[in-house]
Amino acid sequence: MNINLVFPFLDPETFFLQLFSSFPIILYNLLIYSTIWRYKEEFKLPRLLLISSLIALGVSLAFFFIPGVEARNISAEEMLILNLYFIWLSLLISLPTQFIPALSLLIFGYFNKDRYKFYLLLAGTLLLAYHLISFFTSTLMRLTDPSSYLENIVLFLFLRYMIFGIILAAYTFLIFHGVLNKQPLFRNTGIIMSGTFIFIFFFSSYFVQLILMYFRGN
Amino acid sequence: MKIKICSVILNFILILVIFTNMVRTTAFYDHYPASITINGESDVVQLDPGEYVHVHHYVISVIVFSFQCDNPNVHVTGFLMDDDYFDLFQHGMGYAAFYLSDGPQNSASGRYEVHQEDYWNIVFINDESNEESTLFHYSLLFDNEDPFLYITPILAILLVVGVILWLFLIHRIKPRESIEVFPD
Repeated sequence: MNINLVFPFLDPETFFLQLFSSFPIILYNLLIYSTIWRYKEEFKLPRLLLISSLIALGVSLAFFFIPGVEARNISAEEMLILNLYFIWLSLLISLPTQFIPALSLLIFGYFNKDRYKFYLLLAGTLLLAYHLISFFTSTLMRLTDPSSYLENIVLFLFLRYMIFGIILAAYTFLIFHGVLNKQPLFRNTGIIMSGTFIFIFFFSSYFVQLILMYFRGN
Repeated sequence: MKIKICSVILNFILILVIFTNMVRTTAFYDHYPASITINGESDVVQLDPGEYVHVHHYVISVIVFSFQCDNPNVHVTGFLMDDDYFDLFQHGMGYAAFYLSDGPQNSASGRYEVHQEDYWNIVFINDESNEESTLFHYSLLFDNEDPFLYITPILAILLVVGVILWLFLIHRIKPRESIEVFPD
């Protein structure tokens, strides 16, 4: 096995793939930070979401400058080790950029539910569920060999549509919260993020293929 | 109101940056770098019979190359072709190419002047009939840097600057005073 270090900001293919996957995270955290900052006088624990968004933004941007690993001539045994490494890496990235912001929204919603009802609490719960199920689905897909993946295609498709429904429901609760509690920035965040995820759900594979075709010519 | 205007402008810029690249991706589909290199490329790969190594790079005028096979019985051919012929080559159809080395060789080095500034495909293929594999060492240097080299670092820096600018602008906006949401 030959292992090379790849700097995403020096390798266009890695850069655009990473940009494509981290764009919704960066956008969500920017919008949530702006929204909470605007209404911070009206909430309990606003710092929780402000800090978690800042951490998520910092880590998402830092990963453009941290080298990744590229491996060639891989045997089956080495592939298993590499997959475990990538799962660990994915967990390491997901924790500050996805799990902690979602958990913060859940806790934030819980502490503010007396005044603002349960919409933010539900949005946080659904967002956390979305990230957990997405992570376990991608881990399962990594550990499953391609032939059994095809055999269980119905299960994977079901999971894919289910997490799409969950994320849309989460953002719908953000929109409800914004409309019912007269905080229009929450409504805007919900609308922008729903649009982003609808776009990603229907066009992501097309754009990933396009990026790969562009840089590899296949 | 200010926060809305700032959000819309920064959203627009971010989306514009991303979609500009996607549009460029579509528009220049036929010309792409297979891998980014700073001054060239060097690597060691396993070359089985019939396999080839491919490097796609923008070249103004000169390619400096060297290669060596660990297995003395294997001879590798290095050649150069444009995108159209490389497409035919990949699909196993007839193609035309310029030889880098003088036919199949176990090791070679040299300098090649291309007749036209363009993206070129450099291919090293183990297509001799002795059916043996080898570890293949190669290095390539180009007389220029890839034009894409600067785009991604600039975009990465723009992204960081964009996020910092957004946060800076947000901090200039005064938080709204608490309002009664559910009056008794």
